[in-house]
Amino acid sequence: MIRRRSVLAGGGAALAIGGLAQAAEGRNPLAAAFASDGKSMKVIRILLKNDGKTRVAEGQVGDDESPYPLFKQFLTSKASAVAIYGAPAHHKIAGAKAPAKAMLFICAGETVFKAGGVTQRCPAGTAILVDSGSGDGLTETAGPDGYTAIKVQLAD
Amino acid sequence: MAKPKFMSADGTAIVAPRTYTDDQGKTHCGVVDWHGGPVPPGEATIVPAGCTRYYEGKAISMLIRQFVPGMKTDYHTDPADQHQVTFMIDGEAAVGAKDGTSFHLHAGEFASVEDDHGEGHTAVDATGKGFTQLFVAVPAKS
Repeated sequence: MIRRRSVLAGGGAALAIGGLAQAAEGRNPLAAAFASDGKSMKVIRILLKNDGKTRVAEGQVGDDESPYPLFKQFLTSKASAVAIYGAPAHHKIAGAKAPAKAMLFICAGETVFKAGGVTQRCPAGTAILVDSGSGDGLTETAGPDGYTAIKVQLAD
Repeated sequence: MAKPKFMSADGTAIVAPRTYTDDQGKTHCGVVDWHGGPVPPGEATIVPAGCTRYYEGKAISMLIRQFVPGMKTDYHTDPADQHQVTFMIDGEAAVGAKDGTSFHLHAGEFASVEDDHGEGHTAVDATGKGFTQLFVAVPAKS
């Protein structure tokens, strides 16, 4: 259910959701995937290999070489669906085959993927690219506090 | 882990600032609550089984955009017939409407940009260090 409100006072009143401002000191862990030169970002890939099995691997993507001087863009893609969801603590999600390519961005908490003997921890700030058809042999377990994520189903 | 800053006090909804335009074409800042709940059995979904759904719908495109330090816009609307579901990854933006309503969007917070027509809103890099935001474009009417 979506409830919309329009109750902000005028006069430039600032809205501070949760009343917490970004910590002033130290690197924001949500941004840890981005290279310091701003030209690339780390991603986790859920790969469908030629043997039909799923593998988990770290990867890197460059910016999309947008010509606009005011910004750089990453992971630019057409999409067909989006969801924001929360996984409970220690929740296990066993290898359903991904029906399409997807991007999962961990907004809070963490999750852990295992496949092919590789264990990959994905804390908040991790972008995960999922191959269409992957899932065989993949397990996912939410962290001790669960996680909240944006999932985008990608379109070609 | 502390409760995420985007959760409501009772933990049942994601609370996100929004921009929207009224029937007179005036743009305002407000708040949207995305309430959590289970996905009903048999419903088509991209949410994994056993998880709580806060938002789900059709999408058009996605990208992660890193704005340069000092970026600021004049009043603008986003593409017609599209809204933007966004998540602030890094930095802080100050968003304002002509009626004086405004909000600051911090890293770790969601926002909903719904003024695809009307007066529009401004966005300013609030720290001077740039900011990084995930945008998912969705149909204005879903």
